[in-house]
Amino acid sequence: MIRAAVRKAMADARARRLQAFLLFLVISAAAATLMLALTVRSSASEPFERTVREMNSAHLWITSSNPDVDLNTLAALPGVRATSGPYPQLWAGYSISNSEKKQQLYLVGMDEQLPEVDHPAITDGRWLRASGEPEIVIDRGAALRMGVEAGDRVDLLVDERTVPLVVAGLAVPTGRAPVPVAEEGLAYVLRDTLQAIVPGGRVGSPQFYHERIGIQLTDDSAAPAFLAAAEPLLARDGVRLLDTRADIAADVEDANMFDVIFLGVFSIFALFAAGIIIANVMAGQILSQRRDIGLLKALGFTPLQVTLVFLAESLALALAASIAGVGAGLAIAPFFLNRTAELLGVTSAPVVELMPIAITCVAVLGVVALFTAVPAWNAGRGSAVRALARTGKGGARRSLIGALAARLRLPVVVVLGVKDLSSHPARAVATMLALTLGVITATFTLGIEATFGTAMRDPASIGGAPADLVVDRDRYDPDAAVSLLQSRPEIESYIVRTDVDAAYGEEDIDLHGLEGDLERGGWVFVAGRMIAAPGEVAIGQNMAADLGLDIGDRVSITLPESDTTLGLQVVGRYLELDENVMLVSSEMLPARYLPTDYYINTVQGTDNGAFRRELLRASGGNFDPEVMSETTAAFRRQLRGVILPLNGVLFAIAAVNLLSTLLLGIRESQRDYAVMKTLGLTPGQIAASVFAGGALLGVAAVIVGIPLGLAVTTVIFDGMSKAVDVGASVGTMPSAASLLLIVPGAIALAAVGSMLPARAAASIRPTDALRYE
Amino acid sequence: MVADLIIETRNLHKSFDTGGAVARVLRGVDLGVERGAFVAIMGPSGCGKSTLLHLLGGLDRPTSGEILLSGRRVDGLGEGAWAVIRRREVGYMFQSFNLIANMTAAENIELPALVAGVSAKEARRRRDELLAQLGITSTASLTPGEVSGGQQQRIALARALVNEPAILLADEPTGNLDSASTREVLAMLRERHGRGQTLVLVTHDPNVAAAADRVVHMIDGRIESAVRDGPAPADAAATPGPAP
Repeated sequence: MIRAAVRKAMADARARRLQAFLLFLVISAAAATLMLALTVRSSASEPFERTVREMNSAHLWITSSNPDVDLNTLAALPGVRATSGPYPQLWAGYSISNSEKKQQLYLVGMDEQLPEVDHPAITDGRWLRASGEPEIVIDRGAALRMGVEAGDRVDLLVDERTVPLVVAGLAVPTGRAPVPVAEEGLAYVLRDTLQAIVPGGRVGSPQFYHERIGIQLTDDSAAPAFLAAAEPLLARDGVRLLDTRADIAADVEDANMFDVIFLGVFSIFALFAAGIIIANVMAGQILSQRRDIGLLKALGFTPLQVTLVFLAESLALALAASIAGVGAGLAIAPFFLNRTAELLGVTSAPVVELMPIAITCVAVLGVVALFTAVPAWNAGRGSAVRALARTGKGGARRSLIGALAARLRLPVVVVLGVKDLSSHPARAVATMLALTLGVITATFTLGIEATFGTAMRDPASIGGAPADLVVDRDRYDPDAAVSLLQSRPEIESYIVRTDVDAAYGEEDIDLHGLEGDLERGGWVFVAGRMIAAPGEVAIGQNMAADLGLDIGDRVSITLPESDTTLGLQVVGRYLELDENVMLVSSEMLPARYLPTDYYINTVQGTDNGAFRRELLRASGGNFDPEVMSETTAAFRRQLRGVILPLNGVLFAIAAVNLLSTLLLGIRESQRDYAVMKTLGLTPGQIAASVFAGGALLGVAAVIVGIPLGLAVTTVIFDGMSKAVDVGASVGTMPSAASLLLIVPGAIALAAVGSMLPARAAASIRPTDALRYE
Repeated sequence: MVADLIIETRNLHKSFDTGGAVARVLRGVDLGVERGAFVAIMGPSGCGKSTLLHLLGGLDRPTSGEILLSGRRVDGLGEGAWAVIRRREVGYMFQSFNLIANMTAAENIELPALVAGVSAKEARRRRDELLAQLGITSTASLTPGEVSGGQQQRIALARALVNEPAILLADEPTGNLDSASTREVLAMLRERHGRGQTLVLVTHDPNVAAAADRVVHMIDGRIESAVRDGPAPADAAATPGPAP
């Protein structure tokens, strides 16, 4: 039986090379997309893990600003294998500047000899040396963002002074995720250099002078015992657990979060689309082989054996395609992991794990088996005599859509195309569904583009800053800052923000004191309104949901640094990307708090990029300005790099589906096409009728796909909004005008898919097709 | 008197390459068919009669030789030009009817008219007239699978005639019919012939050929003889064609 099945499968593969090849391609594409999604998901932290091994990283980091605490005592606690430090660290956000850009960094003072445990991983240049000019080693991500290389000179901006430093090297920091995963990076200088930067600095001094120690445990499972033993020390003033390796790994993984979401969604689409093609092609093949099935039964095959023959045939192809797809997925994965790898200065190699490979193969083979077994079993149970007598009833169905098309007085070639499609309605519907998936994808992509468009025009609408530029005052004198802003004709309006660390009960709060014309700020309120007077507070929607706060509630906020308590009434909930942010009037804040940032709206037509550089220059490098649209544009570039190729994969699958459906239809209807030629249809008219059928499917896919696409987009946007915790769905639906673009797109896709079948139909020779007359 | 030849072939050859070996199916066929003639082509299987019919309808190209329709050289025409000839001047009937399975009888009949650019209203009028003439009005809304073989061939005849072609080519039109249906279809063909329709029919069946006014016998790709077999209309003749 097996030998017979293999022989039949080989004969079929020889006879239908193009079909087998297309099927192979489509199954491979689906398997590759699924494998890619699973691999990127499981390998997202792989570059980081390798760097962690290279660093001989600690498992957790503890800092202290309490001069009476000796962090070295932690080394003796249970579960500790080794420690690194303590090293002095400045939590004051000093900046480095290279006149083009500025980056806030926390400085760590280290020795000329790198510690064996928990040392930064040097990716470019070298470690610090004592001789010569003072040097700095910068977080690689920060350096990439600024365009700084080893050997460059940078200015460290410290209070009123500028300290020139030579960049000895770039490194992946320990105990902190690299920029831009973390907003501020780490930079390393020698202990002596640190002392020169903050003369007289010591633990607990006003420059936020801390000590930090890295704790390497015997293994991950030792953490609970260690933390329990360290509890008395951690409970002391100024001491805290800074971070854990697992938390940093999770942050780095989050950098790939959108890739994983999109790849996951697209791989499901791709698998579904591939399932449709497999169903179409296998059902078509089985239909066209009814005579063969009759013969097999005449030779003594049972319906089960007939089914097994077809299953063996399709599963063999699917297995080969799955293997190719798995290989392709693994080969493409580094492109998706590169972002993290680039940040860490390592090459990215996907982790080859058995589970994703097994899931991919089982999913693909399962879909293939299902879509093969059902039609094969049905065909196998049919009458052998009838199967031998004719090749099936395909095409004998009356076409209601065709009749409608005729009634609408559509051109005869269109009517013929419609009739031909409707003679296999299940197949036509399945093909339309594959095209519909393409339309859904396109709709979703347009939604993403629209959302980026909105975010670039109005960042606050997605919970971002309500301004064209956000300028960090950094170390600029507040009066000088205001005079500079007031002197610039490019500025239409600005709002002054004063950030204060505050607390609501046990919860840490970022309290933003605001001053200026707040109505022009453009915050997007989900409920209530913007603060209008002292005593009022507006809260981020996500925080409101987490803490169960609503309009009208009264809250008591404490400002620990100034021993102040503010009694406030909630007047509004707004979209906010950051967690636990509250907005109050600056008038409520004690005078010791100085402005930290400025929300600037520029006059229309201003080149905000040029204006950013100008502000940096005019402030003598003291300001740290950010153009919101530039940040959004960078994110858009990153996402486009993922979404557009995935769109391409789905469109290609849809086109291949259409192609295989039309080819099957033409093979089954070649006599009809031949007859049409004898009735006077030109090859061009025959081709046009095939195109018309494809275009009809394209139009139907648009009609069904756009509403479905909008629904899917809403669901995905909701999911993404939850993932970034803005507090509400912040996606922008694509405009009607952009959706209209899908119509010619779908028809063009249909035309591409119809091209080969149309040529095949047009070149049918009546004398060959009607040979047995 | 110069004969009014509607079909004329001169030294027509057709060869097929069958995997290296050349099969010479037609070997210099000279045939003339006068306007209004009913010519039956007979001969054993493989003698080239169907191939000749295909060449006359432009479904295939001769290897060499000439084909003239109403005095016009057509053997060198492209597929598009032949399609136009088929929709206006030549009607085709097949042994297995070759009706389009997912169209009703009415739609099958209208199709060539619509392809020829006739208005939908005129196509319907012609269709109804033919359905009535051929006695198959009741099949109008049925698909081919729902009617008998005889009815299918009558529908095929109606389809072939809907553009009022000057020439009707029929390839074994009764080959798949029982004797009663054969008689019906032959009666209809004779009736059309009686109205001046030029008919060229390929058949194995001497009884069918007997209905023609001329019978051409073919053997091995050549016309062996042309016999006046039936009652000839006064102005019709079928002869081996003029010498090349």
